Amino acid sequence: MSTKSFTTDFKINKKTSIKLTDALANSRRVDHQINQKVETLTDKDRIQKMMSSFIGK
Amino acid sequence: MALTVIPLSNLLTISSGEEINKLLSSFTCNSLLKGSSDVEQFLHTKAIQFENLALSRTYLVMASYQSKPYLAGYFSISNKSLVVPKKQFSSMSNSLKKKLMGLGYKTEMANYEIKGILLGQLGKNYSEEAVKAKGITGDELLALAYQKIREAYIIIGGRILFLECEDHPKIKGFYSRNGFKELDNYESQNNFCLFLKNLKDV
Repeated sequence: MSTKSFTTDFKINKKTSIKLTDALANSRRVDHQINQKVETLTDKDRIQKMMSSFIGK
Repeated sequence: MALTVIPLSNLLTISSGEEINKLLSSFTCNSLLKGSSDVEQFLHTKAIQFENLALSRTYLVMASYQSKPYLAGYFSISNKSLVVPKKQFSSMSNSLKKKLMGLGYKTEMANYEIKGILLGQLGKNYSEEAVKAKGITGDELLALAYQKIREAYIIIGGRILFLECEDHPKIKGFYSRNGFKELDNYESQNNFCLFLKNLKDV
């Protein structure tokens, strides 16, 4: 992981292109079960409530 | 037990800077690995700036310990392409060009480009509280990142998901186990390894 990744231009050469096609051909799906409830929070009031609880207000 | 994902972009419009900084500062990686300290530094010093520039999107994963929420981990993603410069592309065999054309396209500048999504940061919190709580595993955090990446893939398309990581057996093992393939003997300009997978496998 690298902060620089976000601002890097990823250039690959001919040799790497061959490896890239091989790597993609061997890419596989791996699923993980999340054994707990998951929710994306976008509601303003609920985010505020969670932040207040985190801060300890 | 429950996990709550909060988009940093939403949080920025709701909470004060002081509160957000307190939350982000609660994230720590107690590792001497360069990549780990980068994961911590990014959240402490760059995530807000990058969010405001729309350079990346960060998602905070909250869990709870003794009925109080804490930051269990986070991940940051961005859209990014892999580019084969014109000179390199023109020197390729027709069969390789044909293989590549199935993945990307030739730009107007005659470079070759493969559209993708970069998993720029992914990190579990190793604060004392988070370690005690054991609220999330690395696999679960990656699965949460996949959910957002899948949404982005459906909306904007792309062919590959890729990331840079340190040349460390534990880290490389984690991504290999999760179906990523390493580009063998490739070192990025940031001196990291490059791992990738087909976006349709996310």
